[in-house]
Amino acid sequence: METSPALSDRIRRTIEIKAPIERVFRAITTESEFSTWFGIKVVSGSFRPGTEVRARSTHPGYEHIEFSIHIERLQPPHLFSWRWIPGAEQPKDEPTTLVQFTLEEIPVGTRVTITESGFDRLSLAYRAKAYKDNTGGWEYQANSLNAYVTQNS
Amino acid sequence: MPMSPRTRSKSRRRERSAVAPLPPVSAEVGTASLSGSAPVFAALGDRTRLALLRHLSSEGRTSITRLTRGTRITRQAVTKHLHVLASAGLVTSSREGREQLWELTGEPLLEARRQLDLIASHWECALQRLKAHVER
Repeated sequence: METSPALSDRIRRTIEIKAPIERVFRAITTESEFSTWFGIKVVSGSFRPGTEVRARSTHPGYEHIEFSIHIERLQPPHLFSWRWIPGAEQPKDEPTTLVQFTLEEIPVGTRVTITESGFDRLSLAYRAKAYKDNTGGWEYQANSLNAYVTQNS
Repeated sequence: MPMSPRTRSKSRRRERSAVAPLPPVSAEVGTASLSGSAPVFAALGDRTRLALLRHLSSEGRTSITRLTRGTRITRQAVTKHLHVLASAGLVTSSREGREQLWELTGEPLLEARRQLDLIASHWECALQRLKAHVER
């Protein structure tokens, strides 16, 4: 059984894209482009440091789920980061995970690395949020979410 | 075992954030919620505790004496860490003669790993969509 420290607190995934770094950075940090490939609709806010962005999933059946993204850093063309609780209605004062997009120039174009960290500080209050893997991306147990909100309001 | 003020306030914080039980989840969903693994992640988020888990992983059932040997950590500290790991369901202990022996349990760690793997697979999909979008 592996107990390496890297596994307990963070996720890191990487991809190589055949496009210049500025182009990729634009796709990640422009709200309209980001929304297209990430699968959300921005309801309010914009991608500026310190801004809270309210967004809704565009995945079929889950358009009613709204969540917050708190933009942290924007350093063209290498870094974009935010804090959130993935896919959840976000109460104040709850610990968040940090999502970082880091971009590097490589011979074929751009390497993009996503690091999500801070899982060890997640609150027990999010016990009711269930995730289901699906080719469409994020999905929710909508019934569980409704029940959680009802039980805990 | 006397608790340090820091440990005491940590337990209180845990109690304060306890919420209503999770409604029944359909069999199709499979894995439990991410934050059901929160105590596991919290237990893992410490270098000493990770070292203890690695030690238990290679040694099997072990006493506190053996876990402390060769380290600069006190027996009391190791005991405290083992109790944190135990309350997250990561280790369990049993008495053998005069000694308390500690060992790893399998499931909570695997569950936490599964949660992270699930989120990681979401990010992989997102990155694929980014690539497709930009390379169009």
